[in-house]
Amino acid sequence: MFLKVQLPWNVIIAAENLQPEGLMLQREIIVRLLSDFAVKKATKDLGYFLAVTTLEKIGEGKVRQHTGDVLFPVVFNAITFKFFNGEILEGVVHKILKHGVFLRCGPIENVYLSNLKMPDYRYVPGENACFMNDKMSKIGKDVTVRFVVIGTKWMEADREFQALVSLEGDYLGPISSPDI
Amino acid sequence: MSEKGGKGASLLSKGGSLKGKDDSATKSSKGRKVQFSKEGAFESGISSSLTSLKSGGKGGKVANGGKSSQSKDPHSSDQRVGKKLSENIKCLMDCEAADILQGIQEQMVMLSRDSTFKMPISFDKGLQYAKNNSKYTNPQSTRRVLEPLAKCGLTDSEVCVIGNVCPETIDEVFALLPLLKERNVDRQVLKDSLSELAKLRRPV
Repeated sequence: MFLKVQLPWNVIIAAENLQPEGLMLQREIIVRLLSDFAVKKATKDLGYFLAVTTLEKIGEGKVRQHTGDVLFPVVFNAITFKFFNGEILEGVVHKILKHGVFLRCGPIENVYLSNLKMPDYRYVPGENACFMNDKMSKIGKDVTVRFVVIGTKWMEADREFQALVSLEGDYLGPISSPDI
Repeated sequence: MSEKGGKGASLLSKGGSLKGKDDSATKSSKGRKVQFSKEGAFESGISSSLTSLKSGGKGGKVANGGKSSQSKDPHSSDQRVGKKLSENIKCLMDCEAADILQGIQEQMVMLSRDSTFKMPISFDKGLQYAKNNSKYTNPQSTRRVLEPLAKCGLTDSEVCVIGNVCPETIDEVFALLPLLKERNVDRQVLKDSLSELAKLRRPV
């Protein structure tokens, strides 16, 4: 789900970017913060970083001894997106394999739904392979599916999450979109 | 209209590990286990969460009071719906997030005039998802309608899940959030909130 977080960060301004006029300094700090925020992409605790919303305060700058840079402690608000275990979400199928499907949901591309977690669904091979149950309900490409999150994994190297989801439980499964 | 899965939890009868083969070119040398990466850490996280699922009945004890989230596994996330979050984190419903992100999107033209400006790469996907799943016309009214639930003992995350899913009946709420059954939530308050929510829903 989406989260609104308040974070304290340290923003470092290089000496050459320090301007004597107050407003330019504030602009430089904000630009630096937005840049650091964009580069970070995601963290294990807060999920995917989406946008900075407000700047709460900028603290007093401290000069760093060896480099001459100035460090400003800032507090800001941001929107992030993270999967919670037990959460109910909707994703779209983008890849079908013999033993499960991959869905995308928000910024997360690798949401895996194993065949073992699709009660009564069987793999139907073919050009447009899909999973189908006795009631002719289909889980195929571009189908929206409501699932429950049963596990997430943080991949430090790629700075992204993978998730494991399930359809075990009532009110979970493919959702037919209104076509008309 | 939605087709629902329609069944109670059917749990794995044997073992705790998922078995499956990836048909893609990179076949796992371990053969039959579903793996996201070469490390086994994720599997152990899944095995233990599956073991905890086994201990539940219908609906499953998906939320198991935090026991299933293994703190030994550095990669698995400890956060689950129903757990209290730290002070600096608030949950947002999809409609609220859509509102905020849309506002930022509208300023993008002006912001991107500055060549030094960088936008996080997940922004577009996040905005798209929020807009697609935003079920209500007015996020503020939606939040007001759900306030009584927060006073009833539901956590921030549980209120948001209800807001995002927009369940039609109390049965649906308890099926999707099994922990609530154990907490003696006032059914009448829940019923009233659901009917108010339904009125605020955007026409499909």
